[in-house]
Amino acid sequence: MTDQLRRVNTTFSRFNANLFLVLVAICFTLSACTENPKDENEALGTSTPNGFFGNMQSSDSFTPVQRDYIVELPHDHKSHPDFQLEWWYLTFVLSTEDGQEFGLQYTLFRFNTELNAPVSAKANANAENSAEVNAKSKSESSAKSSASHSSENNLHTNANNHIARNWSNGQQWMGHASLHTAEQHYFEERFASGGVGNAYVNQQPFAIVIDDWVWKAAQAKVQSGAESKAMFPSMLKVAFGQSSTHHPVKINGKIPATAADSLSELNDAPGVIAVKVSLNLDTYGPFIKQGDNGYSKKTQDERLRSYYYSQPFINAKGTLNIEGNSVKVTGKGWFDHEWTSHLANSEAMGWDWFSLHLGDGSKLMAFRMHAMNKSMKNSKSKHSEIFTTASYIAENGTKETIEQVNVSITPMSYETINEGESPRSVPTAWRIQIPEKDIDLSIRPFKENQWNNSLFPYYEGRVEIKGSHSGSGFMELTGY
Amino acid sequence: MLRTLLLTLSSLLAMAKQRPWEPLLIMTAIVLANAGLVTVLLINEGATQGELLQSKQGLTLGSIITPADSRARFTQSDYATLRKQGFTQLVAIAERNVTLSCNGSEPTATTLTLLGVDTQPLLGSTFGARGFEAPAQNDSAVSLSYLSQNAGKSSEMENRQTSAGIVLRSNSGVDFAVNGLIHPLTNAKLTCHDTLNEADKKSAPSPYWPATVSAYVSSFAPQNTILISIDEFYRGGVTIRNDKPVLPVNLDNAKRAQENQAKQHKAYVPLSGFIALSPLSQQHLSQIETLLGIPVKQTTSNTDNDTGSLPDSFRLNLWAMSGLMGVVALFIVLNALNLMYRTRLPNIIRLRQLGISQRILSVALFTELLVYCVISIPIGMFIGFQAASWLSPVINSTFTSLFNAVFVNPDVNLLFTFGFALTTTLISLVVFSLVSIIKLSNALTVAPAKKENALGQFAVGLISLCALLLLFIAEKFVSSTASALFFVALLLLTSCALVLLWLPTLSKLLTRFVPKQWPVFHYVIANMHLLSSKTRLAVCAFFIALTANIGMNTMTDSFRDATEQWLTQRLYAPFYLYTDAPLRRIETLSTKSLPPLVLTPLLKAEGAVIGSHAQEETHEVSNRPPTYVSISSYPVHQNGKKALVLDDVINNDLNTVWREFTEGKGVFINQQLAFALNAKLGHTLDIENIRLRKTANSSSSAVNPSSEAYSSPQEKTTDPTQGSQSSSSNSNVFAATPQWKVLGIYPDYGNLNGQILVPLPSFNRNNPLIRDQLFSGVMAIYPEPSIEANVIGDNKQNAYRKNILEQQLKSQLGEHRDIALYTRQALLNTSMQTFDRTFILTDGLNITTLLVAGVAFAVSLTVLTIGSAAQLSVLRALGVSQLKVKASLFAQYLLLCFISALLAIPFGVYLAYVFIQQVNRHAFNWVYPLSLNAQVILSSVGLSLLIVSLVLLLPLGKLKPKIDLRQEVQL
Repeated sequence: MTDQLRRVNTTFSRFNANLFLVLVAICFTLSACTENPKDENEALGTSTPNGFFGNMQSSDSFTPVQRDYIVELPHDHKSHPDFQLEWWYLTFVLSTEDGQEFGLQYTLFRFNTELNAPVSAKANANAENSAEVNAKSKSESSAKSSASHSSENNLHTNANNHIARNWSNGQQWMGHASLHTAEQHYFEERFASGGVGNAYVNQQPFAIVIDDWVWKAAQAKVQSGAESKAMFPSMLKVAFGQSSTHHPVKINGKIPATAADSLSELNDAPGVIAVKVSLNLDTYGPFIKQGDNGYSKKTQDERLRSYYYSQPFINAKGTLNIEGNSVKVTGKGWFDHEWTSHLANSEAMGWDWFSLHLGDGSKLMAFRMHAMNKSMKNSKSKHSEIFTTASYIAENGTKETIEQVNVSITPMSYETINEGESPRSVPTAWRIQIPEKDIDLSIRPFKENQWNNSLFPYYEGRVEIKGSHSGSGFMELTGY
Repeated sequence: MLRTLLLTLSSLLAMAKQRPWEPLLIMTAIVLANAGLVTVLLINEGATQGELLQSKQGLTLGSIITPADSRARFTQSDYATLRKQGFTQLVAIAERNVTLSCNGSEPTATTLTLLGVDTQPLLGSTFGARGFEAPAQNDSAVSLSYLSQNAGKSSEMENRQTSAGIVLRSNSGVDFAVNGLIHPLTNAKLTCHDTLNEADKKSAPSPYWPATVSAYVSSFAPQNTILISIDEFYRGGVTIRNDKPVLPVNLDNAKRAQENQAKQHKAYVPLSGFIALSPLSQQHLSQIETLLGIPVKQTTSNTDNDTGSLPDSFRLNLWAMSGLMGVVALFIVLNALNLMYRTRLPNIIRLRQLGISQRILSVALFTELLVYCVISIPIGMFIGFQAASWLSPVINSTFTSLFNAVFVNPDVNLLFTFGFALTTTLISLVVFSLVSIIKLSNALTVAPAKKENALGQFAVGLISLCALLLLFIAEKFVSSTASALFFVALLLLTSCALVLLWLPTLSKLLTRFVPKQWPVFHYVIANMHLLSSKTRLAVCAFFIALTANIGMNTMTDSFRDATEQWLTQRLYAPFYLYTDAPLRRIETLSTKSLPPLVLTPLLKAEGAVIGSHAQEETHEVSNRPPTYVSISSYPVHQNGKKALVLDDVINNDLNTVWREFTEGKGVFINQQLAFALNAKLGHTLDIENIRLRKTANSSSSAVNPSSEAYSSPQEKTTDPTQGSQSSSSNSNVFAATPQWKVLGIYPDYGNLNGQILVPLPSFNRNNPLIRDQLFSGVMAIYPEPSIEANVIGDNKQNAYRKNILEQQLKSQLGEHRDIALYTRQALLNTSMQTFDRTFILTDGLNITTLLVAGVAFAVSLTVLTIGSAAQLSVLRALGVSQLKVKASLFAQYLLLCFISALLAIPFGVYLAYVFIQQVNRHAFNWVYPLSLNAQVILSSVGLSLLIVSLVLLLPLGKLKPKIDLRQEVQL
């Protein structure tokens, strides 16, 4: 009853409002004057990150990349949590029998978010490797031990380490899935905390998981012993993207009361998830350790560097279900695994990176790294130091690293990308020349606007190759 | 040319200096108007932003998945399992209470919920694409990335965040930094709070969560919570794993366990559940059940805000007020300009004679006005800003308590506001100066004296009759709120016109009756007749203000009477208990431990009425959308019968009707429903879709303690399985479905929706689960009839017993239950207090309107006295004392006001009637009897006359009824 009284009061204030409107209206008719209230719109601006991964701080406390470490496979398929940054990168050029072409990308990133992390992170490394993580107790105990280690010096800045994490292990996972058809682009980005159990990289049997996106070793081939760590043959199952034909979800303004219903409807309706990918992956060549046996320098002075290996010889076969239409596809895939503690800072301004399947069966990996060095930072010059390198992989799997002097990667034309806050000019046509290999390639994008508008937005798309060789591949442009 | 202009301008300014009152008056008016304008602009901006905030879909705890068994808990691996199975719309949350205080002092402590949310999935693109952040994209995106950021480097964030919040530090040495989000409203409530403590144990400083929380203001966070990432939530001693071999964790045990573990610097806090970003279907739920192996339930809380358009109405109110202020200002300006130009006339003529062109003269005049504007607008704006910031906390609390809405301190573009104010003011000033200039130039040109063509009394009578007839006819056509309001306007305007028509006639009539032996008095009356035509505007303003005043006051008074009477009768029990305990516990309790007392619960269900039809008519299929109603239980004992207030009863035979009601042969419906359906007594309602209520627990409710008491603090859940069943069958809700025959119609003030009273025994009696869900959380407690006499009427004993009863109930139901026990009187008092508080606003507006009228009167009087100076000097020459002249003038105006006040009374009453029977009826679907209270009307009249007479004293005091012939310029 009192409840109702409260409503009385509120309704009455409405009433007052109405009454006084009338009064004012009368006063206005008497005195014939008007006033025009205006609404002010606020403009909100946000800044864009200038490096690929924004301005994450790099820290000396993460494990550094060292030249004497030898990348060992399949052991190093695993996650390396004491490094700051790591990714597993799959790209595919796919086609159907009737000639439809697709570009598919699936990537899992890992970030170590603990600023001064490594002691506990190392302890977590084991936990990270197992799917059935029991991270909590371990990280707890390790945190305690680290607390006792460093409690002497600088309590406050290291404080974050003393406090046990009971939910996650300080790792953050980010998954990207992207499919380019001739007309459409489907993209989805996911995040998850490490140690919770829904995102991990498992070594044995090999599996890369974030939520229901799974890439794992094919069950039939899993055996005991070293074999079971194998990455291939494997299965990739990813369902992602918002159906382009369903747009009612993007409502301007607040969601009305009925929106909940429409949402659930959408969720139940087939085709809400736009793309379902199911691919069987197998290889027809060896893994390639990039750079110097997996030690890949990104600048001439090697201050930016990473561990980096690839598998460019992937055969993919399976189905793509796009908005309810299932098509059988086959094609070539490329896998990259890279981990480092040196790339996620403001010095690494971005790169232009290519993975190309050439028509003669050879493969080419090439990139241009844009880096800022200290003197540039101070002078605030906009020109960056550019480091160029390439790996030429012959059909038989022998790899040759092409030094900077012998390779030229030149932007030919620019495309304006209008996604995100402001238009950006991105070089999407390139010329790659490696005279000693008789390579002179003209790279053209598969289609326009292959932009992943994610938290760290970047260009990732399929390219077509002309010139000395034909073929197709993928191009990634970051830092634009 | 420019020089001439400058010279003219300086001479004008010199004149202003000579007579500073008029320019000052103009400037005051400008200051006043701008202060009002800026205040309203700011407040409206604040309300808009607040409303935006509230409507913005932040993290709604709309749909939550929890284990069906309250003792079971979800684990972290349950969460991982579900997400891996594709339930990516689920987000884990955990919560516990923390206390915030100022410097750790206890009196200032408030308890907030620390809400840990797995922010990771929310960062993903699906969440963004679903439109959850559509309007607030930046806000929530920024907020989220802020949350997931490492707290150490928030400096960048501080730049981006529009509004910085507070930093809360826990009482411990070693700590870690956590980023949190806090709702603007919650932030507004916190003042000096800087210390964060565990809620359960304030004394022991055992820091198992030694965090320093930097809470930033974002509407993404729900109210009364600090939203942090779940990762930070489970840090330090706060664990998700229960190391002890499993205690059955219901709430009190959890608390106890928390306390135990706190001693070991550890606290086990289980997951509270999973937020479903999109509601899950039944299929999904059963899938989840198979995956987890435990039954789960989905709790959907209705997030439809009762607030609705309330800030809207508040804004209308404000605009109305500022409109009034503007009108006041314009009245003042208009009259001041009149006065100023009138006094300057001789000088202006001299200027013209000096050869200054008309154009330059008018440009100079406008420039002078511009100077006034430029001087006074900043002052006005400053006052406006001050007023707004002074009012903000007040308004803030008003918003919170009345509307349950948010008000934030707005950011306003200063330059824009200034420009806006300047343009508006200058334009209206120029227009008004033109009006007075034209008037003046008319005065300068010689016009043949117009013959006064006064209407004959017969004509006046005829016209008024016609007008009244027209009004009555128009009233019949009122069919909606808008038309009702239009009718109010029409009524006011018509009555205004009638007053103007009648004033000359009445004053003439008066002249006839005043004996000529009293010459001065006779002159007063006769002159008033003359005045009545010149003071039209002022009289109109006064009349409208008074009519509205009388109308509003009478309406409010009637409403207060009706409400009080209704409440007094309806609240039959001496105690009312508001609780969140399930019904079965309370029911068992009453039989066990409180023998002399009887407990009657209030049960509630929902339904939809498709239509109503008289019995004999064939059932007609109507296409009208169903009217949703709440179905409430009504006790069938004698107390209930006494308490029942009915407007309308079949055959006017309460006893028969009551018997039929108790037998389930009919129901009572409220006025609202009757109006909405056009249902008559004896009609039968077609009701379908009777179901259990959805949870009415929105996160934004219960902001201040008093409102908390009103809203039932029920953790009502609709079990999905049962919910779907019960929506199809009525048998769950009712033991015996009553006949839906309308036996009586009862008043239900303040309710906007339809309601049906159904006898309590008709509700389901056997299934305790359903009864729990029917239970609204309100319980009437009254003594058994035999000892009733002892309890009622003894207030002391009542209070004494209340404490005892409260103790008893607490001990019976468990300390953790929310129990609020109110005595009948307390409920009545709170209700009436709330009532009165609301109408303070009305009083303020009333006084404002009266002041407008008063000021208008005063200024027009000043102008008039200049005109009648000649007559006054004749009076003085005849030997009438100065005091007498003044008194006579005063009497003149007062008489004018008095006559219009007399005329205003009937129109005011009529207005009140229209408010109640038309506006109220159509806007809210309920009416109440109009009660005429002579005291209310007389006080309105008295007050308005008092205000006017006070205002009149000012110019009259200054008046010098003698003429300095050297100054006099004959025009």
